Amino acid sequence: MQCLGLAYAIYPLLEKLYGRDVERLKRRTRAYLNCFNTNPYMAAAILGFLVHMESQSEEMGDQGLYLSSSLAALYGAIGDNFFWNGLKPMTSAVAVMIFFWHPGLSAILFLLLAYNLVHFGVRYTVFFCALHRGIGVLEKIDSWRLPLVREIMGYITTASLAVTVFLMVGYFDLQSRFGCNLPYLLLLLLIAVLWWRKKFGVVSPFVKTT
Amino acid sequence: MWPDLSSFVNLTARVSLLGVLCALDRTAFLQMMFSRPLVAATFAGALAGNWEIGLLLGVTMELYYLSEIPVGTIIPTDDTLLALAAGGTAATLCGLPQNVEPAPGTLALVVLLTVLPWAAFTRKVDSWVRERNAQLIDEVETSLLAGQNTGSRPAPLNFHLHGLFNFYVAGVLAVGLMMMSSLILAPLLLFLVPDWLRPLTDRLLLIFPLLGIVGLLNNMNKKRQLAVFAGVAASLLFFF
Repeated sequence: MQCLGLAYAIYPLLEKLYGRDVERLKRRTRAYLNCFNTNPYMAAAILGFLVHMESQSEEMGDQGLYLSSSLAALYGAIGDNFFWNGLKPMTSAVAVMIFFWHPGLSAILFLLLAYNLVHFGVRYTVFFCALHRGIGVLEKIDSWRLPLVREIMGYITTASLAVTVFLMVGYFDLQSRFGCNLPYLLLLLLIAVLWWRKKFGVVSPFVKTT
Repeated sequence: MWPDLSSFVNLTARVSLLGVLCALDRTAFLQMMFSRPLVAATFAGALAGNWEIGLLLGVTMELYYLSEIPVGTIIPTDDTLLALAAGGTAATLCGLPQNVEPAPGTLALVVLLTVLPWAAFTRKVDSWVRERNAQLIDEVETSLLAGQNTGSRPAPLNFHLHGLFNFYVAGVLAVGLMMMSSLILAPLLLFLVPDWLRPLTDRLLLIFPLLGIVGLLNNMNKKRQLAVFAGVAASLLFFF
């Protein structure tokens, strides 16, 4: 389905370049309907790159399309890891922690602001960089050291979740329901046991092993 | 005393028709996180008259589905549709005068029990829409060769927007079905719990922190042990 979006987005340029030759315009539009799959945010970099190449000549446009299949896989891996595996869990985890700290709409506000500032920032920067520098956008993306940033975001996610578990005890007033600090101790014990099982790779008796 | 069924149908229609706009944000349009359970459940709750209970359900579902990510060809559970159904159901039950008015935590727990089993169904709905949308590309090629035009842009390229419509229709039907079933089951569950068991249902609220631990363990690996210890230590220092 992404190829249809790509063709839809690049059509104004194709019309501007080949609008007088209808057959050529059809041929170029169909060329953009080939299979295309990448991270939706990083697709902006590929779109910018394809506009850069197509603007030069039809042959360069073909080369751009040929290269874009490799770029799509690369950007897909980078984007999925950074956005889906790093930024999304981090902003969600921190928003949930904010909710149990101060219940209210501030959690939603944080989630939308934090995520979209980064996502729109990256989307527009890679698009314009690819538009002006073509394949040079790779250097720009590489300079951001996204794998390191994603690793740091992973730490923040985990720490936020650990704090959230204890904040939930206060939110649901479990202390008064169970009496004293029993819920805290139960949760602490559970975290310790499950962590130990995960660390030493203890196989659950409920999991079938072959 | 049974709740008014016409208000159930009205609120279900409202949440389905308007709430599903959030679900479009998931893959088809924008992707600005309006589709996260935190936002979707709150929006559904607001549409049904009580955003606070929607927010509580949204936060819980956010924790539960935190580590489900759409990497590669994996189609994760559509937590947006589930959150819309859950938020809408809980807010509807809160707002009706016939309601027995359980504590928000207990109501949220009961609604979760009735909505979460639909997870596999939402994956099926997502797969069905994607399969239907994949067929659009062939239709575009055929129409493009036939030379159909609308104004300056070839009509086939507008098929791009048909994909959006498919997502919307499937979302409306799915949310409507899940919400109606939950609106029937949740009051039944609340009604069936005898008075002498009520203190026990209060203690079942411990399930919420347990959901938090599920999220924590899914995100924990050997490198991040330090972060877990830091979080636990900070919490203990703060709470004791």
